[in-house]
Amino acid sequence: MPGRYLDARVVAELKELLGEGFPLLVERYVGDCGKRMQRLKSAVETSDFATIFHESHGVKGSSKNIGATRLGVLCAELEHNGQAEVAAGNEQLFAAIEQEFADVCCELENLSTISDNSG
Amino acid sequence: MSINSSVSQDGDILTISVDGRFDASSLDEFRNCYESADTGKIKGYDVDLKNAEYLDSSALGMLLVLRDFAGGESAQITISNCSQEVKKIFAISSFEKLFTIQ
Amino acid sequence: MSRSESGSASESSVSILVAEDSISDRMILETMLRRGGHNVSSAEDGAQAVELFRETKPDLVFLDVMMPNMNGIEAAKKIKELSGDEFIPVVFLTSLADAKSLATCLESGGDDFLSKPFNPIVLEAKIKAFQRMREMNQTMIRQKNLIETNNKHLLQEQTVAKQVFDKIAHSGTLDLPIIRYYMSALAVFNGDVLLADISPMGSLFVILGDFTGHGLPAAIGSMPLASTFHGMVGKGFTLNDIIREINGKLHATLPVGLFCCASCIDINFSKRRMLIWSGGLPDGALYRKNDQSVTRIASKNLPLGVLPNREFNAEPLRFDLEEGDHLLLWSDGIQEARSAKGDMFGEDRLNAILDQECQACEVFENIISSVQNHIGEGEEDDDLSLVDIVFPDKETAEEMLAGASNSRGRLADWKMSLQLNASSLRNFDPMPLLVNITSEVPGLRQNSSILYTVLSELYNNAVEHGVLGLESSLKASAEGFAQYYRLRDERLESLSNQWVTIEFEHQMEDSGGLLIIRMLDSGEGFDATDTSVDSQKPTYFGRGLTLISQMCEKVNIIPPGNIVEAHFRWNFEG
Repeated sequence: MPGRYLDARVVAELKELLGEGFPLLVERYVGDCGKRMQRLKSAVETSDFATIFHESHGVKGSSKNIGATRLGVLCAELEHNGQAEVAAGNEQLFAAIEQEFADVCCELENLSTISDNSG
Repeated sequence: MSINSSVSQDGDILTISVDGRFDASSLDEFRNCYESADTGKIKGYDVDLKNAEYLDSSALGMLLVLRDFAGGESAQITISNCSQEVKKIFAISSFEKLFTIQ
Repeated sequence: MSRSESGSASESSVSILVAEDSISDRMILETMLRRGGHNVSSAEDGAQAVELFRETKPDLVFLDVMMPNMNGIEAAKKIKELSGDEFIPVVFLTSLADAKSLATCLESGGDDFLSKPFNPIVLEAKIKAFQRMREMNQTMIRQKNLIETNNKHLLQEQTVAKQVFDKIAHSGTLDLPIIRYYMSALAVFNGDVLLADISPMGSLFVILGDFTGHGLPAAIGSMPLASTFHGMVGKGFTLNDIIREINGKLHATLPVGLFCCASCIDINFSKRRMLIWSGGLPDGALYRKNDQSVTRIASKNLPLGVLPNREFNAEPLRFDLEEGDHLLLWSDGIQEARSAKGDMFGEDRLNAILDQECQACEVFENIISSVQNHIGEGEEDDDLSLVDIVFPDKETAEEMLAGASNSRGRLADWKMSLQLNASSLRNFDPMPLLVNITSEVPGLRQNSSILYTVLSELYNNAVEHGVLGLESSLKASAEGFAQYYRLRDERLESLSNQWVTIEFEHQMEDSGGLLIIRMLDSGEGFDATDTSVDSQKPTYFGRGLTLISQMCEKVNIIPPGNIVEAHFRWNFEG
C-alpha cells in the first residue's frame, strides 16, 4: 500500500533488511522519537534552543533512516532555527512536525501489521 | 707463480713475463714460452721481471739457456723492470755483459 | 591462495564499534553491518563508546555526533588517543550539513562521514576502503617498528664496536707531551685515524690517516691499519717496512674505491731527524724554530691501499730537526669545512694562517679556532683532524723513551733448527716458511729478496749436490740443463732416509744484526774448489756459491762439504 508519508523504496529495503525485526524497528522508532517529540515540545515552548537543536536533529536523522523524508525536512528547519537561535515560527513548525510524526507513526504501524500478517 | 708470453704486434719481439718466484720450478713453463713461439720471425726477447719477487741461480742458468737458444753472442735479450736486488744479483754474475738489463 | 578465496567473508570480516543514541538508527546500522559479515558491538552514548573501545579493540568505529554523556567529538578524541600509532578509522554518523560542524568533526580526529539514511552499498564501500588503509598502515607500523628495532640494535652494536675501535684507532702514546691533536667525527665512527707509538729503537712513530667516506665503512679500514702499525712499531720495523705492510694489507682487504690518505712519520730523538711518508693528505707544514721559516711537505705518493706493493713506493723523505721545531699535519676536512652558507674554509684561508707571523706553538690553536669560527652554525661534512708534534728537548725525550716499554715481542736474539726428511724434501718447499721467519726480524725484512736468493742457493746446493748427488757439469748444454732438473725430480721420488737441516742463529748488534745460516745435509760432501766460471763461454751452472759469497759477509764450507755456513750481516737504515 503506497503511503503518503513514507518513501516506499526505503521502507521496502528496510523490510528486506530486517525481515521479522521490522515491527520491532517501528516500535523503537515510535518510542524513541515519541520521547524526543515530548522534549522538543517543551523546548519550543520555553525557546530552549540547545534542546530544540539537539532533539530535532535526532528526530531528523532517525526519520530519514526510516523513510520519513518530509518529516526529516521539517525537522531540519527546526534544527536550523535551534542552532541559529531563532524563535519566530517555531510553534507553527513544531505543530506541523507533530502532525507529520503522527501520520508517519500511523502509516508505519499499518505497514508493520501488514508485514506481520504477511510474514 | 706463473709465466706468460706474448709477441709484439710486428712479430719481432717475444715478451716473457715472470710472476712471483723465478727458479727451477718455472723451468718447463719458461722453456715452453720460447720453444713454442714462431722463431722464424722473432728477432729479440724481452724478459719482464716487473712482477718477479725472487730469483736464484737456476733462473740465471735458464736465462743463459734462452740466450744460447736465441743465438748466443748475437742474441738480442732484454731483461726489463728489474728491482734493485735483482740488478745486484745480475751484477754479481756479470750478466750485464750478456744481457741488456733495464 | 586464489583471489576468490581471499575475498571470503571471514577474511573481510571487520570488528566494528557503533555508538548511536537513536535506538532505531542503531538497529538499522547494526543489522546492515552484521549482514555484511562484520562483528558489531554497540554503545548508546559517548562514554559507553570509549569504554567499549577499550574492551573490544575494534578495527573501525562509527560515532554519532550528538549523544548524551560525552558527545561524538569528545569520544573521537579519546578513541584516537587510545589508538596510539595504530590507525583505527572513526566515521561520524551525521546529517549535520554545515561546513563548520564538519570541520569540528575532522579536527577531533574523524576520518569520514556517513549520512542518514544509511545506504548499505555506500557503507560496505567505506568499510572496504578503510580496511585497505588499515592494512597499509599496519604494514607501515610493522616496518617502522622493524626499523626502530634494527636501529636500536645497530646503535648498541656501534656503541660496543666504538669502544673496541677507540682502543685500536686512537691508541698508543697520543698523550705524550709533545703531541697535540684535534679530531672530530660525523658519526659514531671516524674516518680519520691517528696513532702514535714509540719504537724500541727510540723513535716516535705517528700516523694520521683519512679513509675515503665516513662512519663505519671508513672505520673498518682503521682496524688492519692500527694493528699493523702498533704491531710493527713495537717490534722495531722501519717506517718503510710499516708503510709497505699497511699498504699491502689495505690493498688486499679494502674494496676498490676505499683507500686511506695518510702521512706517517718516524721522529728519532737521538738522531734528531724525521722520516716522513705522505700519500694523499694535504701538504703538511714544518715550522723551524730558529729562523721562523715554514716548509711545506707535499704528498709524493698515492694513498695507502691503492697500488699493489710491487708498484708501491714506501721511500720516505728525511728532515733534520731541532728542539722546538713543529710539524703540523691535517686531513682535508680542514680545507673542506663549510660555513652555514656552504662556503669552504679553503686553501687560501689556511695558507694565510700558516704564513702569518706567530710562534709555531700558536699555529695549532689558530687553525682550530679559525675553522670553528668559519663553520659557525654550519655542519661539519667531513671528518676533521689536526695534529701538532714538537721536537722535544733532551730531557723530555729521555722521559718519553723511559716511559715506553722497550722491547715488545721483537724477534731479536734467537736460534732455530729445521730438519727436512725424505718426504718433506720431496713435497715441501721450505722457502716461503724460511723467508717468513726471517722477516719477523726488523731489518731482515728489507733484505728478504737478497736473503731469499741466499737461502735458495744454500738449500738447492744441499738438496741437489748433497742429497741427490747431481753433477753440475750435467748442465753444460741446454739439453743437459733440462735433463738435470728431470733427474732431480726422479731422484727426489726415490729418497728414503736422507735429510737436510737448516739452522738459523740470529744476534742483535748495535747497528743491526747477524744471521748465521747453516745448511747441513746427509750427503757425502762435495769439492768446493770446482766452481770456476769460464769467462769465454758462460756456463749454465756454478754461479750459486759466487752469488752467496758476494751477498754474505762470510761463507764457510766445512769439510767434507756437507755443511755450509753463511754469515749474513745487516744494518739499520741511516
